[in-house]
Amino acid sequence: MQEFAAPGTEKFPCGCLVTTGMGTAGDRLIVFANRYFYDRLGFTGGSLVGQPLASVLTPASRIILDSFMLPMIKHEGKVEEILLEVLSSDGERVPVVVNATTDSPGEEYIYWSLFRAVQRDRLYKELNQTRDMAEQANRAKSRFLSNMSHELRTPMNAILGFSQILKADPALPGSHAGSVEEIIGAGQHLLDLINEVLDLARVEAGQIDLSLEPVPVTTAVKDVLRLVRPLADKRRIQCRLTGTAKLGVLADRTRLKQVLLNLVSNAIKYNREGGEVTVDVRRIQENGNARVRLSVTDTGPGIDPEDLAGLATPFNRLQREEASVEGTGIGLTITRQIVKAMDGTLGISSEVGAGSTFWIELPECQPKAPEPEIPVEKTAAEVTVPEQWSDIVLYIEDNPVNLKLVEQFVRRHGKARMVPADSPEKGIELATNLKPAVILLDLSMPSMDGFQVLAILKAKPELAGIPIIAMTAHALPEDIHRGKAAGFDDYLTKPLKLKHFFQVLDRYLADPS
Amino acid sequence: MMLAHGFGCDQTMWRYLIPRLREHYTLVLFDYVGSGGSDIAAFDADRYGSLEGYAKDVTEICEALELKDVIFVGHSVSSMIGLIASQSHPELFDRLVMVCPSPCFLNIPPDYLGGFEREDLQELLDLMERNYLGWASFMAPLVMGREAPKELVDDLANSFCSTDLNAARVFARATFLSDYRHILPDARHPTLILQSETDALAEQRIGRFVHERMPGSTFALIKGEGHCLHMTHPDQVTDVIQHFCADRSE
Repeated sequence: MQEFAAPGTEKFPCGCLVTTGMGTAGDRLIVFANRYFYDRLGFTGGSLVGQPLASVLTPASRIILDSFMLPMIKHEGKVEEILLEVLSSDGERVPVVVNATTDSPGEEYIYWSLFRAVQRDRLYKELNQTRDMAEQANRAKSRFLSNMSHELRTPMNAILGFSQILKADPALPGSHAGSVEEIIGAGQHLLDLINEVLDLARVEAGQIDLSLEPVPVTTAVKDVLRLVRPLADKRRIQCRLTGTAKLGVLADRTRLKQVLLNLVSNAIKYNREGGEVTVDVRRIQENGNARVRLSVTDTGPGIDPEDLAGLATPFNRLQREEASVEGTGIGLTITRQIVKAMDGTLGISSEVGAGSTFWIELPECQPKAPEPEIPVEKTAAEVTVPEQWSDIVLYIEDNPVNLKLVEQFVRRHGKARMVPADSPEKGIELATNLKPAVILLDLSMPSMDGFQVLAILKAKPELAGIPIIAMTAHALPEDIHRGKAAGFDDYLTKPLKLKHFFQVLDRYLADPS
Repeated sequence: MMLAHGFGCDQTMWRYLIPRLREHYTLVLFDYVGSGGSDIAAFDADRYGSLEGYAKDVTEICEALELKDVIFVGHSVSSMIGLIASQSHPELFDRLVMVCPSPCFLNIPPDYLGGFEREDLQELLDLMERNYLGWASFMAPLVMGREAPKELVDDLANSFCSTDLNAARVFARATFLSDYRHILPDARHPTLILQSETDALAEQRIGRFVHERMPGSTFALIKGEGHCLHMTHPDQVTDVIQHFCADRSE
């Protein structure tokens, strides 16, 4: 072997190696190692010359050298920051970070520098362990949220579904119409709250699902004022809407209402008995951009300037926890983040003794014309569906309440009849015998989950082309994504919305005429 | 011709073969679920805990694209994945090419030496994981090539960073800790085995073992070293593949 000398490296505080390059066949042989390398690994000076580089590496490091580093050196001319383990003369493993470069052209030699990485490696391992634990905790949290969402939404499906049917029933006595309206309103609000609580984790992680659209501000404010009326009445508080009507903002409809609800209900809760809450809507110009400012002003005790800074901190309730006002202290944190995500700002001004104003500003946007309502109320005559109706909707679901509810929905839709299957096995059998027009499939059933049923149905060539729609209370975005990825044609989340359900049925059922 | 990547990489690893092969064959490239640009939401640790799950990816792609008479080229672990797929769905395949195959990386005394003790392979998995944070800077320039603009390399580095660690772990275990020697004698298709002269992961005797056990197989020793012949010796590899598939070239 040709003698190789690199005297300049002898004083370097890192291992310096020279080996044969990719231009030479066979193993990479060491032609030079500096004093640091020999000393640190306990070899006699010069003793490694002529040895394969692999002989000072652990087996795992040899694989990385061979499978990744050498191809990289071949194509890139260099490789950087690879963690390997070298073996000392007494077999001890030393983690090292390795850089290498080769002669170009010719690839006669490869030059290696090796840095001890004992501390770095220890930190790496700790970091990896911490990350694993965090990921595990995060998965557990997602599972919990998903299960929780399912458990809470399932009973809501019955409450909202049956009350919608009652509402649409022409035989409902007028004296009960108001009560049913209240059930629907409160049920919807409860559902929104459930969604908000489940959203908290997402919002905190900065993952907010928004669908921005032009929203008429006055309508949103009125909706919110209607919702808080019982709370306001209880404390004899007057709520007023002032300012410009017919302004629109670019926002997520539900999220905007969530924000307003939070601000207005705070203004009521932290007000004095018999006080006032004013919601003011007006257009302002900011750097030439039209924005809409919504201000919520109360006549409460006001907030000390020193306390203002702590207001948007989660769970900070400014010592109100001792008072009789209910709350968790997370509302304003969520509100601020949602407003920010909608390209808006939130501000607070307050005067002790006089009251506080919480305002948000959002980009202005002309509201679009209201969508024509799909008529869901039908006369009794239309509701009766002939049993000879040829199109069949097969619904595979173990919960009898849901079966009953959807049967009424399908009946009301009036283009097909529903056949119930209260177990996956029965459902598969009925699907094969009846060749339904649409299959609705619940995802969580005890004996077999919806995904397994889907796979079985998909495997039957005679059922090809029949749309299969998932029906589930698992409503997190990743659940929906997973459902679509598994091959469901559509994904309906419970509680079912009558209008949406009809739209989906319309999509998959042929017109009877 | 379907090109299937090995563990720790994605379809870009075939870049050096593509210019010549595309002249003669319709090429199908893909990333296994859990690798490269695949949809990680579709990853299922049970399905992908064994090579059969990856073989299903292969046959599902063939079915979706209505492929038939497929020439399947698999690198390393994909050689075995292709063999599994070709035995479960023989009608889809015409022949197989195995680049640096090993049916089992473990030493199973007394008569099989895959090259590694279980502890060595556990250590390899561990070492790969400890390199994970540096994986991006590690692989991206390699697969992109020397002349690639820096932004592209960075893009790719980011996509590697987003590779799911869990999926990588599951694939690594399925790759390095499994034993598929028993399926070799059931081979039903002509198979070409490409073996590197020196390969720390799959030594020459492993390639010869595969050849001896597989009826109707052809063995080709490439003058070169390393486990990634298709990257380090793309021309020789293309020559041998084209010769093996001469009757199919267009």
